[in-house]
Amino acid sequence: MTSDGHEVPVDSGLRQLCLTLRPELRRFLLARRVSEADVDDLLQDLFLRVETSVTGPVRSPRAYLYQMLNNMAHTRRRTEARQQARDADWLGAPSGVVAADVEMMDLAPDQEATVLARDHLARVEARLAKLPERTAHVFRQYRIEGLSQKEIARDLGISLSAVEKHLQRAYGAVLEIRNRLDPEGAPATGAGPAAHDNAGGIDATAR
Amino acid sequence: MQQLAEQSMREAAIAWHLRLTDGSDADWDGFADWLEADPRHNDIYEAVCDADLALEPAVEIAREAPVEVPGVIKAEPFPEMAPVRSARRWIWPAMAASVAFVALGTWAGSGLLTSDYAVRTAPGETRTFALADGTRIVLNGGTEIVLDKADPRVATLKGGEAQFAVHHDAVRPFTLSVGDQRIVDVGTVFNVRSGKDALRVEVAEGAVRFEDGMTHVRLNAGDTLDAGSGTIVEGSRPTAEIGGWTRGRLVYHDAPLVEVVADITRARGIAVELGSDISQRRFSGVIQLDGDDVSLQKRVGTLLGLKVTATADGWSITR
Repeated sequence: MTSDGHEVPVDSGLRQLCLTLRPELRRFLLARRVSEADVDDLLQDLFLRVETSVTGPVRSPRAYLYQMLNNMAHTRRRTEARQQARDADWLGAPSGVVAADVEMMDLAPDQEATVLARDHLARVEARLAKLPERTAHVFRQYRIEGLSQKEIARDLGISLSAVEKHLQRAYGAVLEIRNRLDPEGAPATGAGPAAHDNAGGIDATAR
Repeated sequence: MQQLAEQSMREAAIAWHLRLTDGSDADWDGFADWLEADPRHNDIYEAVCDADLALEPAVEIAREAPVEVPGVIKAEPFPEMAPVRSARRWIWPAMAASVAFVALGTWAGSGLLTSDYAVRTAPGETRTFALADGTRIVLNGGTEIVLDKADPRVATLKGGEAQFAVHHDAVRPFTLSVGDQRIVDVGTVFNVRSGKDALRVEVAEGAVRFEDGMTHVRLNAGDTLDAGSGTIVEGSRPTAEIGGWTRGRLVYHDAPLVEVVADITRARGIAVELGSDISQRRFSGVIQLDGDDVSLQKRVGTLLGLKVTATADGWSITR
């Protein structure tokens, strides 16, 4: 799984590695389309997190830093997207209605979210039912029960790459189903609702 | 033609997404190369991540209330758990959840011979999971809990903070141990925070029994208990405020700043240094935890009426 198996003591080692790898981490963030201005910010954030939140020795420290950074880049983009959506709501809504809307959002009962999630789950299950039994089983083991790909391979007595193939297929099918609650899942403007369930499945506006 | 290209880019994005949950150095290099090869790759990868993340609410429901799927359970990874048909098989894998976006937690099984295992979170990381009996546990950052895969009705909080929504079973009450103190549920939602020499229990729903060998106290909804260095103090708190951190907000009434600062560190992984001349101050109000570190920094400064400066190590709060 990891090409670089030696452990690095947290305090000085990881921090040092952060500094050493700075140029390539920068490059990675740019490839992840983080704006030039945000890159240093994220790297600084990474540095702080390494100092404050990493508690045990880390195996494969370089991959670990990439993983952290990759998650942070994703989180940041999501936060920005939400912020923009919120700003758009505020700007778009006639004044006076805003407060009520916002209040509604705050009050949005957990129950409603649960109903939506149940609905989503039902559609996921329906989609899985159309796949080969073993593919669906591997997906459930991985995504719902949280087993690692290796554990699944071992349990089923199949190769890791076979597990990957099952997952690839299941994800291809399941990720097309959008949670109706997720605003980013809304179909592209102009693409019409038909784009929602089409075979391509990629929503080009999901930025 | 273009559809085909999109389709294959999407397949590649899914493959990366799957592989990077446990990526080697070489995988990360390959991923970076792939991203650089075409600017659309990052967008498609992000869309895949979003779609996977959007599955989470549905997945949580599946974990809590498993759907019996006819003819699927062929490989039972933990045969000792097989007897109870419905919920059992969800338990333990749900805890092991190494789903793409919770990669930072340390997952430490304590070996194959004992059935105990620990789940830890780093500061700034929260984690939710369900036990076989339907009990739900939310771990705040910087928390360690030990569970027993042979017995979902016991747990030990080693340190940190957690909220429990316990599935009540009069015959087998859920028991949480913290040091030599025990909290026994009477069907309930409760929040527990354990620091050095200080334990705080807050009951949001139902009731729990607190036991420390000397004292037995029953706590009902809205009751709180502080146990530390030989004393036990009972108090009360509006139930809506209990476990606010699980909803992204911290609520205080006349709380010492030290406590506020510790909560922020736990929830967001930001180390905070508090000027000695203000450490005795108290705070009342609500701190929303959303947004990035910089906006939180501003918000905290405004709310506390103090200067919050970012330092190399985290924040420093001064007058």
